[in-house]
Amino acid sequence: MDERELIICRCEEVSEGEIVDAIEWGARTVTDVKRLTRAGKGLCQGKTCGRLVSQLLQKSGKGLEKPFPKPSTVRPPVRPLKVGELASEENGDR
Amino acid sequence: MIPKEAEIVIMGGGVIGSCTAYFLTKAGRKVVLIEKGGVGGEASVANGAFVWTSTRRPGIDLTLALASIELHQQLREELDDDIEYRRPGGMIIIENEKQLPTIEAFRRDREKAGFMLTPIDTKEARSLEPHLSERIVGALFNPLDGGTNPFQLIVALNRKTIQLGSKISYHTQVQDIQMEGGRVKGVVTDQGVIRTNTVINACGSWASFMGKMIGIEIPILPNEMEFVVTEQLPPMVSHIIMGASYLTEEYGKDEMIAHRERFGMGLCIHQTASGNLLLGATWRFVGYDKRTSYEETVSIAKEVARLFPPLGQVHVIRTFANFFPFTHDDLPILGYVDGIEGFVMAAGHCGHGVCLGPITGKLVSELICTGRTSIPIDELSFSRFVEK
Repeated sequence: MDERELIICRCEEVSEGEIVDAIEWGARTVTDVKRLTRAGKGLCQGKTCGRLVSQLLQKSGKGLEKPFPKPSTVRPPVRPLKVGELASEENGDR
Repeated sequence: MIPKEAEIVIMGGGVIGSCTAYFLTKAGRKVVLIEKGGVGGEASVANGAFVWTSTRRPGIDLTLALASIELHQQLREELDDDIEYRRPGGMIIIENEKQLPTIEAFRRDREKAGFMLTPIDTKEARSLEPHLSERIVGALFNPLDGGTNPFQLIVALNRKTIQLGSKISYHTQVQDIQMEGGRVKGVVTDQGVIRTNTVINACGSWASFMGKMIGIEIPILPNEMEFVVTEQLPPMVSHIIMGASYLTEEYGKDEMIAHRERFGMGLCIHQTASGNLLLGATWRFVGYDKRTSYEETVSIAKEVARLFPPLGQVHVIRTFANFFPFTHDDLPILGYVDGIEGFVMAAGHCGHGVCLGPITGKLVSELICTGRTSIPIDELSFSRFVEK
């Protein structure tokens, strides 16, 4: 199988080729790759692909942060939460 | 490698800097655009992605917004990538009877200026947005409002700008601005020095740091705004939505500056082309701290669940915050700065940068190329904040 076709981010269906192209274009951090390709923007928020993107950056030798490109910023929630769950929390009416 | 010389250096690669670089390059100038972070910048890619006119005040504010939405349309056609700009129309949802007088005064003000927001009743509003609560009082509808994909917009602008011969240097920090006899002479960056006679400050909430380098106080403050992102969904909200509380509560920012713990909240909802819902927003003044807070997330969730009950079932996958460059009169600072030759301001868009980016880029480009602008920008000059 062509490595370029390998899916790196399954939530957003981003292939290795797309990520390599983004790095070629100028991406230097995991966040750059995310902005250019959507890798890491999906349901799992990069929990799976974050490390793989980081490795691809490292392999390219073009990563800004050396030796290990940092993950993109982590923000709550840790796992998906319903809007309704968040809305009722403070009222105690769960 | 960063060039040693440039006709024009633009500091800030967000939507303002990227639009300015594009319009200048299209007009035949060669620019160097510098961005401290990666492609996209800061608040330009962390917002509700509205291209919104309804809340703009009659006068220069509205004039700029109306001119800019035409440019968004034009950019959609002339850029190579899809920027996902669409104009489904916007709705300001009137949540309760108490808001009616404020909203009616707000609507009349705009009507007098020939800018029509159409009042619709609850039934009509719910026929446009079936998931709206039946407990709302009504809405104002405006067919001119829309949304875009700010990432795609900036990437498309940057790509085209490079293709047309200008340069962009990401991950490059401005360290100093060199002056000689009241003139700009160069920009010192961590990647090297660029000699130039013209520098544009498009640094948004960071614009005041550039001002300090040349000894001026630029009154732009970082106003933190928080948003919530949901999972991708089939179409659920087709219009660009704002809650009337946005208007009835937005007037307390000076007070908030003094009270860091206070935050304001006004509902906005935008379902993007990817199907994610962008839900917002809360705002406060906390310096440059962009961590999101549980209290703010909960207040957004409550408002969403109250006005769009079925959205209570959708999953939040992320929260994010960034800094909207705040000025005390809610207007940007555009144009040359008296006494500093070659220094141009293009910052302080107060949360309307995505909408106003294209017109800002066009006007700044006109100013630099011809010395004049097709829309007069005198009242946006830096000098309005200088004590006389």
